[in-house]
Amino acid sequence: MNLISAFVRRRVAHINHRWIGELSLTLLLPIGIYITLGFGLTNAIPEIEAVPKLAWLIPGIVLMIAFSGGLITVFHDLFLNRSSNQFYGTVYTSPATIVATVTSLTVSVIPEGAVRSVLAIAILQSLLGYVYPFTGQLLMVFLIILAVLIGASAGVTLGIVAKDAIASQLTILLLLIGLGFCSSWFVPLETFPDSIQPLLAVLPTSVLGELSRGVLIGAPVSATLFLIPIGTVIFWTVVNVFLFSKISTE
Amino acid sequence: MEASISLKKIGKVLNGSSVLAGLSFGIERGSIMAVLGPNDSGKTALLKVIAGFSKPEYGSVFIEGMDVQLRRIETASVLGYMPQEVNLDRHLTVLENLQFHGRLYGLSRERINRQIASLSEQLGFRAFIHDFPDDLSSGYQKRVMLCRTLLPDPQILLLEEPTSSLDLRSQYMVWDFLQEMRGSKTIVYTTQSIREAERVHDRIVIMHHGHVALDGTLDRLLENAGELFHFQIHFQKLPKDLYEEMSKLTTVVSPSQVGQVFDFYGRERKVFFDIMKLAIKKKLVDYSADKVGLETLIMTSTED
Repeated sequence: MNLISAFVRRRVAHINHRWIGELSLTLLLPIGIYITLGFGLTNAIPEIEAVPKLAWLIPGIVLMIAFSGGLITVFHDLFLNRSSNQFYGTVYTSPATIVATVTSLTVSVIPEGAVRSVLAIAILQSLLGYVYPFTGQLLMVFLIILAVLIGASAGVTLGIVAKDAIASQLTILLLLIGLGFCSSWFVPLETFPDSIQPLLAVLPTSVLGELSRGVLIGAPVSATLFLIPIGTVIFWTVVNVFLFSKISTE
Repeated sequence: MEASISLKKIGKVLNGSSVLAGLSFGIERGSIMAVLGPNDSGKTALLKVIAGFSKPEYGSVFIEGMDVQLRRIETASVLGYMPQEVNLDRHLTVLENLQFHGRLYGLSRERINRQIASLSEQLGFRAFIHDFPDDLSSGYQKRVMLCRTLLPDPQILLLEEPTSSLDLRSQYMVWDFLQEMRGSKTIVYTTQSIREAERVHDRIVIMHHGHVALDGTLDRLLENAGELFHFQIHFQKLPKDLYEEMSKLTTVVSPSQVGQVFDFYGRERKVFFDIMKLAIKKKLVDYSADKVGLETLIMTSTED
């Protein structure tokens, strides 16, 4: 717990020192995505009874903010500081275990990711003029945390394996755009060819999209689906521990 | 005295070349060891292997009797490693950097704050505690890094060129600081500074191509070098036949020609006059004669 606290405080300190930028991003990003996608994808969004049409889109936008926040933050931190001569060198030579370090690094972005995403829900509800059920919003916080953790896990992997800054940033951009659409965050799965729909449906990010619509707008979902993103985080952490052990020793 | 660090036949290969070749020695508890040598001699590799960060291809390192590779957590708890490059988190203030490091070692908040207050005062950067690392001079960055290394109060300090890029005043401050810790902490540091090694050491190790070329106290090393003198005679023009004639003198050791300079060693000062008898026929520009010091020892012991 000490190590998690150390990494979380480090992240909070980072944000604290550039709070104007962080706050601007937090407030403007959901509005920007909402306006862009709302105008562009209105025809692709399905109608749901008793719910405004764009209420279908908001869970996807929130998940994108949570996922990308975890991914980009952790990737940049690790990619820029992973060498033994850089900041993480002090972590490698410390008594912290690799499991604890990877877990702490991944978990450290939860507070900022959660705050950013919860604020996004609040802002988007105001824009839409529609309020989701309270219990649904509470459950959504849990899904946001899972999205942050999956994003952060991807960030750890990319931060370790990336060789080139520009190439990896392009990869992240493509990954975010691709996942945003392929995970049914912005458009329904039915818009894709029948042959790839089963594959896309089992993506942990797709499951998160389905679950978030279930808890916010009452779409039918199975509770066992929660196991997929949770299992993904656990499995990915194990993979990251292995990868991290490779960079933390020469 | 008991060994705090023991190396048993340590071998390390990097990029296909051997950077540490079967090193075996012990480092006494509470002693200060200076590691010198040219670039790529294996100094940094040695520190990294001791720190447990770099895994040797063969052999073992023991810290307080514990194998570094098998008991990494325990050994890391008693080690403090300071790299040569500044590796502070540039997005955190000095205080936040130090607090993070304290938490990394599981120290309590009270202990972290107490240590920071005390060390920042001793190392003279208290006034800059709320500044960002990039706003500090390299000298102060190094002081902060030394403070960070000392924060968990490790028994063993591994310092990579602790005074490189420091001004003279800061160098003296760090040297005095290290001297004060003699006896209470085992300190191993690498350096390129002869003056530093001469001033702060209980033992000097000179490395070359991953081997220990020389090992001992400064007095012992110089004693082993005998009454060796280093001479240089600068000619306006040094003819080949004269060079060969001078080189053939039996009292001349390791002669070499560097431009128009005849460079050689001798066991006694008399050899200088033997050479001068031959050289006086030619036009001389300058000369120098020095008793062999650490610098010459390093140069001669690390010649390829």
